[in-house]
Amino acid sequence: MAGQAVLGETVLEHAQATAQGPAEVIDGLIGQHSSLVFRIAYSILRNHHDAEDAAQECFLKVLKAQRRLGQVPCSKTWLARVAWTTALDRRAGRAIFPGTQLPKSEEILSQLADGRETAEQQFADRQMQLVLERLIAGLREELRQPLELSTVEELSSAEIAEIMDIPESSVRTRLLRARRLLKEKLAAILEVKKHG
Amino acid sequence: MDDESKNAPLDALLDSLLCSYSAADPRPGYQTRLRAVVRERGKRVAPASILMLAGSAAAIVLFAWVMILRTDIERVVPDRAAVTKSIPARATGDARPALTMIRPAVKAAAGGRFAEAHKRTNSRAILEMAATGDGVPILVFEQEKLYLSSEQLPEPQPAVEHQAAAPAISIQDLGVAPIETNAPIEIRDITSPKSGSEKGSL
Repeated sequence: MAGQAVLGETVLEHAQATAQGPAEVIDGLIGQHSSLVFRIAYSILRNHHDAEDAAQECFLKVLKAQRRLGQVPCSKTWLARVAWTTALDRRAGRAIFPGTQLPKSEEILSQLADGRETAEQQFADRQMQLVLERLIAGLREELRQPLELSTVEELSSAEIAEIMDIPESSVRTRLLRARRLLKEKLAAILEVKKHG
Repeated sequence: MDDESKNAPLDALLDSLLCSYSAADPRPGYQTRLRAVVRERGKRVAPASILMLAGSAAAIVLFAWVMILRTDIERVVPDRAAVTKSIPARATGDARPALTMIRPAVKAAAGGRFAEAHKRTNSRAILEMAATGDGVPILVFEQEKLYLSSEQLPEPQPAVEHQAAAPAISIQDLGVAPIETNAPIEIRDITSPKSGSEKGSL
């Protein structure tokens, strides 16, 4: 795979070995990790447009920090960390947490146009997603952040620990606590729905 | 066991919800847009860095120039002797302001540079000269202006002699023969605090 950093080899070293310039290195990073960057941003911002903007900002930061590419041992976690901090900054800049906002009509329409499930089922799934978003938004930040990152399937708990700069055991503990809290709240909601 | 069986569907629901939480794909053409933006911005980065370099170089030069200027200003304090020597002798009745007379001298002493910025220094030089009075014209203050005067002020007379002469004048005016006496009149120190015995006499 072109542009992929081998273990123990920095991104720039690899680029030099393959005679790539900085622009080509960033091109390679975009090709390889743009989906990961987008998903991380989306897990935090909960909006396609904002996530794309954050991803763009993330790669522009990488462009500005070209010199630091030489010190990066693993491009994936480094990029993920840049994306995570960029998305967090963007979320901090917004007055209202997006999880409390209603979904945009175009997003609902795009899901309804899928055709694999019935409209009612999709709508119910969407409702459950909104409920989960609100529940996650209600979590404390120390629990919410690892949980959001854990929903990105490309990231393992070790990588989340590296991104957040905390021990892996802390990540696991926080994830367990967050899941337990979510389960309790979800059970309460479902109970109310059943009886209501 | 009951708890586990009760929690199993809830766990499954939570897992499925969390799996789809971030399972979003970007809009088509996302990578192309990213590449285009990065390339476009990459072209701008180089001139920006050059501008930053140029700006910082200009700032350093400006700072150095200001520092040199400050050092020069401190260095160009006029030499007092040179100023004193070059002041023209004041003709009788000539009433040019002192600053007007001294400024060319100060300029000459300071090598002509920054002399205009040293009006305060000129004033200080004049005041210093006036304070020492070593063959330097005396400063006269007339009509709200400071003048130079070559006339020397009379030597300050001791207070004792002034007060001794005063009674002789008044006696002559009255037509009374003056009392010839060379003995100085004793002057009482009226500023000294009163003693307790004097309080009652007044």
